[in-house]
Amino acid sequence: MNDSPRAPLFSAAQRRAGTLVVECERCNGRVRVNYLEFARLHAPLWAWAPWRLHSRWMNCPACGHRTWLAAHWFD
Amino acid sequence: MPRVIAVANQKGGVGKTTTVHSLGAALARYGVRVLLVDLDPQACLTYSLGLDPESMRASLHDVLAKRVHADLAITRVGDLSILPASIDLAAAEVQLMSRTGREYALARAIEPVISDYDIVLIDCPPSLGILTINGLTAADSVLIPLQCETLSHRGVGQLLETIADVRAFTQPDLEVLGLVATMFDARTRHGREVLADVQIRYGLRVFEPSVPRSVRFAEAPAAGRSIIDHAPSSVGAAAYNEIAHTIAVETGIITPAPEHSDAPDYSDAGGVVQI
Ligand SMILES: Nc1ncnc2c1ncn2[C@@H]1O[C@H](COP(=O)(O)OP(=O)(O)OP(=O)(O)O)[C@@H](O)[C@H]1O
Ligand SMILES: [Mg+2]
Repeated sequence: MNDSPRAPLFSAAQRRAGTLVVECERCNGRVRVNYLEFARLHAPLWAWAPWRLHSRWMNCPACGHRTWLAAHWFD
Repeated sequence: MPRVIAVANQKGGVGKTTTVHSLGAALARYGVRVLLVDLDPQACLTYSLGLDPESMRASLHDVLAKRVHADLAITRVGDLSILPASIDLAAAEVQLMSRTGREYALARAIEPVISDYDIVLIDCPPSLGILTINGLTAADSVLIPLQCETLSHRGVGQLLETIADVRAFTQPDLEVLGLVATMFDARTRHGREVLADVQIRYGLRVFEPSVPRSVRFAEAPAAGRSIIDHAPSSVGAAAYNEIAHTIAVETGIITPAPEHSDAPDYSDAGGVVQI
């Protein structure tokens, strides 16, 4: 999946230690964030609905809206 | 929802800017509300509209850097609206690379304003950097201008690979609208062969008619006008008018006028048309 010569242009394509990929239910955006940014995107309030595919109600770093996101820890 | 179309080809000088400006002007004449986005640091589109890229109060660079709201940077020229570029857009390329969600900066910047328009046309730069990725990510379809020369197919192949990556990583719904043959010389067999080859090789649709090579195109930007306003009765203007009409009808922006309004009306013939 990451062997495209254009992979460096896409943050989600490059696995890096200390990061994860969040995916937005609203805009379909997939963005790599580090753990600190991930924590910040939860502020000021967040919700967790483990039965949902996109289980976290938080800020999306792609569209900027507060919406449901999935966290892919191993992407 | 407005349609957002990125006009892209990594190859330089194939007519991307001319296509954006001409289609935009043609669509505006059909009463369509058009926003043009100049995503190229060379700012040729901005310049072709008669604006001075160096003296704009705000440009796309300021919008991407979140210094101004897109609304404040958009300038109206006649019946077109443009989000202008300036040379500092080249710096945005570097600044964006370190930003979280860098591929979505343009999509996010124009989202608050696009509902004011029926169609958004993005003029992509002739390179494959983060700006082009932003243009493709913000779009729902791509239109590819093609200058029918030997090796033109390589640029199209590379662009299609990029589009596949964009679908995989940032915009799963991105479609390819098709090719527009630009600077086309129908008299030479070579041009026709290249076009047919690209069409078959990649299975892409080619919009009709092809845009002929004409000196009128070179004159228009210097006058700060599109070919539609500069030489409305030229073959080039007619070609872009027809392509604009096809795109507008197929994307549901306008409803087609009945082709033969003087045709006999069979509506009460019980569905049976007698010839
Ligand atoms: N149909 C045409 N006939 C003749 N000249 C044309 C035609 N279309 C565009 N041109 C001219 O070709 C040159 C390149 O066109 P244009 O700037 O639209 O290409 P581009 O793909 O945007 O270039 P770049 O890759 O540098 O952004 C311009 O000088 C333009 O006036
Ligand atoms: Mg250009």
